[in-house]
Amino acid sequence: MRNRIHSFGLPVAGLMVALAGCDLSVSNPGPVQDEFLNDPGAHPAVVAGVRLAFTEGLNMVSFFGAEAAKEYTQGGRIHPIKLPVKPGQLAFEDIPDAPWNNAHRARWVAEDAVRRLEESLGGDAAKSPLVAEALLYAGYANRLLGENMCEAVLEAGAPQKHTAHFTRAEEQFTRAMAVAAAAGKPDLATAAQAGRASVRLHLGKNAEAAADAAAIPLGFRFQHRFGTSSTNHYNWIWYISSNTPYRAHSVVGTFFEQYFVETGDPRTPWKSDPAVPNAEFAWVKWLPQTKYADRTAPVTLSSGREMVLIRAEAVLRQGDWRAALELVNSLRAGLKNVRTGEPLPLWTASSEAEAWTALKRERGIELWLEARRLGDLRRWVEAKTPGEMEDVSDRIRLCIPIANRERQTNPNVGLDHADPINPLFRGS
Amino acid sequence: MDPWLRNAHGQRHNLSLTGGIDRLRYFVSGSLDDRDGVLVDDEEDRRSLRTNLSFQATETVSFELNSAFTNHEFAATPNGNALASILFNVYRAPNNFMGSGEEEDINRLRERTLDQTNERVILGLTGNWNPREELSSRVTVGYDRAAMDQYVVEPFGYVVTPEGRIQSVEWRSETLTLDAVSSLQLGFGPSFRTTLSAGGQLVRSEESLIEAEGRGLPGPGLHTLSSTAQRFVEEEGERVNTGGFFVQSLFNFLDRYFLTAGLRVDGNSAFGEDFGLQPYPKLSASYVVSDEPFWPDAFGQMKLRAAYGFAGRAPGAFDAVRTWGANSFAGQTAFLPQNLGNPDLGPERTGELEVGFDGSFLNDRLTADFTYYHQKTSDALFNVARSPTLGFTRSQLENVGELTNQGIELALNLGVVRGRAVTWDVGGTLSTNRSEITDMGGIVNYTLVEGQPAGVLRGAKVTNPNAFEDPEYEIDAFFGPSTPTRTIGVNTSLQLPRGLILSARGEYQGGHYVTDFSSRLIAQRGPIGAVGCDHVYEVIPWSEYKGPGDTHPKLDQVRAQDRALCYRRARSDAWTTPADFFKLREITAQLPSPVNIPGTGSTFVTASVRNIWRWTNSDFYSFDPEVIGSRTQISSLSSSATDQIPPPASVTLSVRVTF
Repeated sequence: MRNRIHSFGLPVAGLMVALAGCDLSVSNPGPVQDEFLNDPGAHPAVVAGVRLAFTEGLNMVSFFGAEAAKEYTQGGRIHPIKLPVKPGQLAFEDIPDAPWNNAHRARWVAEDAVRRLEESLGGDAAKSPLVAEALLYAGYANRLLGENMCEAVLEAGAPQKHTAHFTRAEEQFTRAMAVAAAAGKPDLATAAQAGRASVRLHLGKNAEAAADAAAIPLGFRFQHRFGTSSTNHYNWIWYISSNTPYRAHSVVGTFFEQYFVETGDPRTPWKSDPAVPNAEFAWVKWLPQTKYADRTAPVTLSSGREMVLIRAEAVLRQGDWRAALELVNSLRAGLKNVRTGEPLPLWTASSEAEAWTALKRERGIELWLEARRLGDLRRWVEAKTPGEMEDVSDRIRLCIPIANRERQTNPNVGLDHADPINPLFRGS
Repeated sequence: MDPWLRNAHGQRHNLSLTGGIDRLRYFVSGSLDDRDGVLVDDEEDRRSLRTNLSFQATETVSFELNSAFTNHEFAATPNGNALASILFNVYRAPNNFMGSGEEEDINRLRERTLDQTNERVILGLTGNWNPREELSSRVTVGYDRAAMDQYVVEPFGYVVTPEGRIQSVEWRSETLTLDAVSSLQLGFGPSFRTTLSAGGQLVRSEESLIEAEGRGLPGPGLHTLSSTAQRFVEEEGERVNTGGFFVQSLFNFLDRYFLTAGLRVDGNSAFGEDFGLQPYPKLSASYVVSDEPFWPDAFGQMKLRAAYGFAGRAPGAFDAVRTWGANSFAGQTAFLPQNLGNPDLGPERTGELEVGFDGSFLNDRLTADFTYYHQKTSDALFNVARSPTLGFTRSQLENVGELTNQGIELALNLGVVRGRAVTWDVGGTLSTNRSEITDMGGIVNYTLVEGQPAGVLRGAKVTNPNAFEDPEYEIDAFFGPSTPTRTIGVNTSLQLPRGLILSARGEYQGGHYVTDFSSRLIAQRGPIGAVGCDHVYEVIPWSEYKGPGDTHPKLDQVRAQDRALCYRRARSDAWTTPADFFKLREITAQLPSPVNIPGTGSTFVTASVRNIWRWTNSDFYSFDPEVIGSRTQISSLSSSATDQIPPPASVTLSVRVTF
C-alpha cells in the first residue's frame, strides 16, 4: 500500500515542486503603469500627452462644431450629423460620442497632469514650464468644452450650465499666467491671458475681458500644432475636407462660399477642382477650405486679432457701436483680396444693430474653422443681441449634446435627460 | 458585384499511413489544399502534416509523441467595412470613394495586395507509467506555437492612398504546458470500487505583436518599408504563467451507482492581491436505472445523471492595473490614458447544475440524450463603460454582479428503417438558452441591465410597426438578446443498396436580434437604398421619400416600420431586426466506386453541396444573419451585420482510396 501511494504521488509531487519553483509573475512590456508617470523624467511625456489629448479633442469638436455652426456643409460619409426629425425626440441624437469623449479626455488629462506634476515637484511646480503648459491646456480644454457642449458634466457629476467650464478655465488661465511668468515663459503667460480674456467674455465679465485683451500685442498668436504619426494626430479640418480620403466637407451653401468670391479675404480661402467636382456625396458640390493647407497646419487658439474683437464686443455691449465698428474694421484695414490685391472693403454701420452684424461677421471670418463659432452663436442668441448672422433656426441646438455614453454610464445624467434647445429653433 | 464575384474552384489532397514495428506504432497524415475564393483576388494554399508515434518502452512505461504542423497562405481582395473595400464601394456607388461604380474605377481598388501566412506547430510528449494494474500515472509536456505574418501593399498612385503605403504585421504566440495526473483504483469487496485521481497543470504563455507601417513610397515599382518616407512601429508583448491542481475521487457501486467528488484549485497572478488561489469543487452522480431488477428489458437502456460544480474565469493579466499608452506625437513620447484598472478585480465564479438522462430504446433504434442546465455566475466579469468625464474612455473589466443562464439540450436519433439493404436514420437536436442579469451591483450600463439578457440590443423600437402611419418610437427600448435563444438541428441519412449513402443537415437559429449596419449605411448613403427596402421603393422611389412627416401621396401604402428605416436620415439605433434563420447546411451523397481498382482496398466517391438554401425572418433586411461582428466574450457582445461576403454556396467532389 505504501509503495502504491508513493507511486501515485510521485508525478504529482514533481509537478508541485515545479509549481513552487516556477515564477508565476506576469510581464507586459508596452503599457506604462501609472506610478511611472510620477518620475520627473516622465513629465515631458506627460505634458506631451496633454497636447496629444487636446489634439484629438479639438479635432473631433472642430469638425462637428463647424458643421453645426454652418462654417461648412456636410459632404461625405464620415460621422454625418443627423438632427432629430421630430422635436419631441430629444433623448437621442445620431451624433457620435467622439467629440464629447475626446474633449473631456483632453480636459481630464490636462487637469490630471497639473495635479501629478504639482504633487511630484512640490514647491518647484510654481515655476515649472511644464506645469504652466499643462495649466494653459487645461484652460483651453475647458474653453473648448464650454464653447461647444450644451452642458458641463464634471467627474461623472450632474449636468451644470456650460459656463461652469469657463469658470474653471478662468482659474486655470490665471494660474498659468503666474507659473509661466515665474518659469520665464512669456509666450505661455501671454497665451494664458488671451485665453482668460476669451472666457471672461463668455462669462459676461466685459471689463475684465477687455482689460486682458488690451494687454495682448496685435501680432501675438498662440497656435496648436499637430503630428503625423497617426491620422488622429492630423489637423482634421484639413484631413476630412481634402480629396483623400474623405472629401467630407465643402463650403457650398455657406456664408463663406459667396463671401470669398466677393472679397478674396485671405482668412477664408477655399478652392474648386474641375477634375473632382463633387464631394463624397454626389449631390454636394466640393469646395474645400484651403485655410489649412496640409495635415500639420496649426490651429490658432489665441491671437492679438481675436483680442481686438473681444474689445469691440465689450464696448458694443456698453453701447458705443461706433468705437466697436472702428475696432472691427481695424482688422480688415491691412488685408488684401488674394485675387485682385485690392484692400478688403470695410464694414459700414449706421446703427448699433448693424455694428453687431459687422462684429458677428468679422468674428466668424477671423476665427473661421477654429472650433469657436458655435460658442459665439449660442452666446449671442442667449443674450438676444441685435444684428444679423447665419440663420440657425433649423438647428435644434447650438451646441453638442451630452453623449450617449455619458447618459448610459452616468446615473447623474440618465437616458431621459433633455438637452437645452436653441430658442430660435423652428423645425428642420 | 458580378465582375468581382466568381465561381471559385479548389482541390484538396490527403494521404495518411498507419502501421507499426514491434513496440513502435505510427500514424502519419498529410494534406494539401489549394483553392480560390469567391472574391476575384482571393486565393489560399494550406499544407498540414500530422504524426502520432507511440512506443512501449517496458511493460510499465510507454511514450507518445504527437505533432501537427500547418501552413496556411492566402491573398485577399480588399473587403469589409473599409475605404478600399470592393463591396463597400460597389454598394455605395456612385456615392463612394471614387464617385463611380464603373468597373474600371472599382478595379483600381484591386491594386492593393494583402498576403498573409499563418503557421502553427503543436508538439506533445506523454509519458505513461503503469507499475500496477490499479495504478497509472501520466505526464505530458505540450508546446503550441502560432505565427502570423501579414504584408499589405498599397502602391504608389493607389486611389485611396496616392502616396503609397506598406504595412507589415508579425504576431507570435507560444504556450508551454506541463500536465501530470495519477490515478489509483482501490477495491473494497466485489461491489465497491473507487478511483482516486490527482494532478496539476502549469501553463506559460507568451504573445508578441509587431506592427510596422510606412507611408510615402518614392514612386512606382516594388519597394520595402525601408523605402517609405514615414515609418511607424507598434510593439506589444505579454507573458503570463498560471498553475492549478486537482484531486478527484470516483466511487462505483455495483457498476450502477456512480459518485464523483472533486476539487480544483487555480492560481493566477492576474487575480489581484486579495484572491490568490481559487478553489472550484464539483460533485456528480449517475445512476444506470435500467440495470435495476425492476426495469423491464422492453424499456431499453437508461442512465440518469446529475452534477453540480463550480468553474471560474480569470480576468486578463493586466486588467487590474492602471496603465497609460505611450504614443509618438510630434517627435515626442506622449502618454494617454489606457486602462483604468481595478486592484480588487478577481475571477468570476459560475456554479452549474446539470440534470439529464441518456437513453436507448426500441432495440437501440431510438436514442435520446437530454440535459437541463442552470448556471449562476457571481462576480461576473463585464466590460463596464465609465463616464468619459473620468478621463479613461476604454471600458474597464469589473466584477459587477450576478447573472443566470439556463436551458435544455436534447438530441434524438431514430432508425426509421433498419433493413439489410436499406437503412434510414432521422435525427434532431434542440437547444435553448436564456440568460438574465439578476444584479448589476449598482453599476449603470446601457446593454447590461437587470432583468434583461446579457448583451441585450437596445435602440429606437417602432411601437406601431404594421400601422400605415408615421412611426412611433420607444426610445432606448429593449429589442432582445444578441445571441440565439433556440437552435434546432435536423439531419437524415439514407443508406441504399450498393453502398450508396445520402445525407442532409439543416439548422435553425432564432430568438435573437442583429443590428443591420450594412442596410442602414446603404439606406443612408447608397444611390438605391437598402435591398430590404425594395418593396418600399417600388411604391415611392428612394430619392423621393424624406422620412416621417413626408406628405408623399403614396405614403399611406407604407408601413410604419418601413417608414422608420428606408430613408437617408433614418435613426441608426432603429436598424435592429430579428435574425431568425434556417439554413440547409449540407447535402451529401457517398458512393463506393463501381470499378474495383487493382491494389486498393476500397474507393469511395462523395459529392456534397453546402449553403444552397436559406430562409430568413421577413423583417431581416439584408445580408446573412451569421455575418456579424465578433463575439469574443459575454461582456462585449455585439451583433451587427457588416460589409462582409456571406459564406458562399459550395459543391465538393471527393474520392477516398484505401490501400
